[in-house]
Amino acid sequence: MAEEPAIKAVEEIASQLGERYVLIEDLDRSAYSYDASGMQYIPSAVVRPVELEDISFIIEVANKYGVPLVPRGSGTSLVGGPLPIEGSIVVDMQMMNKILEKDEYTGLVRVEAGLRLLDLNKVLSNRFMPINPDGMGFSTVGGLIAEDAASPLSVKYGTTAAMVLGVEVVLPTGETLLVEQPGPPSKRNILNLLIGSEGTLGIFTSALLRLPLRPESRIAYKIEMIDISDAVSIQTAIKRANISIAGFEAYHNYKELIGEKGAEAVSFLEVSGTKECADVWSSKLRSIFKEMDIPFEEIDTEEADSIWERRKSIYELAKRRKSAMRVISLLVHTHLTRDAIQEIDRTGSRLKLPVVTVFNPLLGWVMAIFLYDPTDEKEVKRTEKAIFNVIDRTIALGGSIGFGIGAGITKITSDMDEGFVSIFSSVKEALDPNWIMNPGKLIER
Amino acid sequence: MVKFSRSLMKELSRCIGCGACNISCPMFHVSDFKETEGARARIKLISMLGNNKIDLTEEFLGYIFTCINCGLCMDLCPVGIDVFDIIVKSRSSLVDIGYVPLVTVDMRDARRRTGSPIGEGLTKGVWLPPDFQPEKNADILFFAGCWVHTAPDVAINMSKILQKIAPNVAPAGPNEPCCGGLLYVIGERDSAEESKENLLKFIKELSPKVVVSGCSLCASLFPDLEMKYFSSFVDEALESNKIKTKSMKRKKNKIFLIRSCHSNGAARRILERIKNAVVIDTPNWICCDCGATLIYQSEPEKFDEWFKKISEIASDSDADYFMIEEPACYSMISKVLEGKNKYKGMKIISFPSFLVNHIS
Repeated sequence: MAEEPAIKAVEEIASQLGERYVLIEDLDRSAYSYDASGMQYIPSAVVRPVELEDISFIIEVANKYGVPLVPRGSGTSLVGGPLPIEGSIVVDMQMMNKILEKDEYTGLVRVEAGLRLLDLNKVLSNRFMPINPDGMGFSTVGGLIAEDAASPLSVKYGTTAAMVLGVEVVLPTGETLLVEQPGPPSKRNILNLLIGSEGTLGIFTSALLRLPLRPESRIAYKIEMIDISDAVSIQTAIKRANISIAGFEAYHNYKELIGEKGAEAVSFLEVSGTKECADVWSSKLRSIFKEMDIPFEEIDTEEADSIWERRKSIYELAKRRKSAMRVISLLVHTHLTRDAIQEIDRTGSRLKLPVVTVFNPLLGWVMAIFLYDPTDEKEVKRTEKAIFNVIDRTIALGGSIGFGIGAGITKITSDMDEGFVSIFSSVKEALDPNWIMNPGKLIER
Repeated sequence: MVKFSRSLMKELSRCIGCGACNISCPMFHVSDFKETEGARARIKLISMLGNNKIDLTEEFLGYIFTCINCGLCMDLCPVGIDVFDIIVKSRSSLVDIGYVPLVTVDMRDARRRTGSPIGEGLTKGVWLPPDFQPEKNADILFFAGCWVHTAPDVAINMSKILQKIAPNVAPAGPNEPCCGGLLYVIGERDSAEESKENLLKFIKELSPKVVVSGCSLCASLFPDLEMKYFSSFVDEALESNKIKTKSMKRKKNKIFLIRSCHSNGAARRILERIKNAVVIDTPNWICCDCGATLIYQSEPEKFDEWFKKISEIASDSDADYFMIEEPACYSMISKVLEGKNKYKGMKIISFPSFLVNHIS
């Protein structure tokens, strides 16, 4: 049962939005209690705004009663981003899904935050959003911006932030702001503060995006790494040869992909652009593979696409091994990628948990995926322990957590990034003195 | 306290909550992406019920039983869970331990009284003489399916098309048994099995060369009946040149096809062979199915909403034809429209009734 202030807040919101847009029944509350993280928290209510004014009103009422709010898109987060851990009211953004403006020539689109990626990718014929965090296009634009989502193609296209020119945001104070930078990014810092703030600084209602052109030509390779350290050597060689890589992804311990040849990892790389560029970079890549004595084969772009839609291959793991999984995303210095992977392996074998690592050597992005039986309580506890162990080891290596998928409930602490936590906390205090926006995520109060 | 079997709980626990099943879920889309209505919520909530995290109220029980039963949710599951199968299994488990939702009572009752769960005072084979007896050893035994009997024009047109493929077509007629498909999806495992066995016996006695079903649910739910769904059968006949398509007179006729969720795109392939027919691309969640029967009967306002939504999408795409593949769905929509065959400037037509004029 919801607490007294929450009940009052919900009644007031219902009087403005209409009862149809406010869900208080047990069934509905339970249906908004999960995402793709495997965790569960029941909200005190769910509200479904359809326009900007609804959101301003919801925030005003929440502030009045001190009831926390959690914005939610499609609920595909792997880290509990949209989970109402303090009995918050969930703000379901999916009904705000309009395309407000579009321009084929410049690739600019202004869309509401609840628009799904699969719908965004239909807006312009020759352009696309290269970040597809859930692999199926179910995630919403608001979610992508909130988590500053990344993909294996972020090597070329950057994270979501690179595509965002502006956002319309309703701050916890109820104030609506348009934060936009059309030209050179000289004053982008404020926009970048909002992107990746994981719903803790306000609710995004719409965004101005510039979608990149689909490349004219693409060439992709699958390579085998006998030793994980090859990953470090390859990324150094690629950088020295000045090759512009579009996507890079490596799988370690993924025996279904690696096969029985005894390699430690299998990787996928892509170069893309005009036909001439792709050909030159491709031939340089081949020379590197030959010099390093790395077995390689060219793969078709369809196979490459399935790799860039990363989560599909991760989910495939759970399918084949018939188990649940817990994911932690890490960012380390590129030359320490191997060390991070070894720490993950050690954790897995010590706690007797199968673990697969997906990593991007050019970004230093490492994702550990622990596979476990959710019906075995002991195994669930060991998985929890493994996650914290990996985080500890990553911090010792000077790395951080949450890249590309958000930190969510795991939170970034001072020992991970003292500067970020100190400055971000001050900003949070100033903008959201009552901590009503998505409390319990990203940083500790 | 509800206790599901270990194997069902294990299967439920494999759901990673990614939401892929919602992408193709009609209920999710019609409700403006309300999470509760989607397939993911059904799986998650059933799992919570099995783990005693949520109480089983009458409302909850009804909720578990009333989705559109299209089965599209299993198409995209990245971890290979047969979502629809789990939902149906949990319904059967609930029925087995005595939890029968009020919303299914009418269907159970109709089955007892009339032999068919769709009720509505159904008389089978109204287009045939009252003393009609199906012929034995026919080329095709035409098993219409309960809903087709409520739309005799569709049944007659289906028969006409089948007669172009093989000369000797025998309709199952007024004594056509219920296949048990609808009973199966509402968790009545035993009654469904009994119905299916009756039908098997019926077919065996008539020993036709092939059985063609007018309803896709029976054909897809029970492969052991070895029935061919009407559209798939016609598609194969076209492929092997037994019949041909005739072009449409007017140029560029835009068709918004409400495909059957249990066929494999056969109707679309057939329409694409017809010159001057332009089949509009529709979102993958738009489908029709007699599995919607329960929603049509117990929550008519939800069924109306579903129709309103898809007809809006059709009308926005400037469709000339609003074509419904599944006779069940055609019948339900006809009733919503009170028999009107024009709506929002589109001609409302069933797929077989359209096809009969474009096949030779």
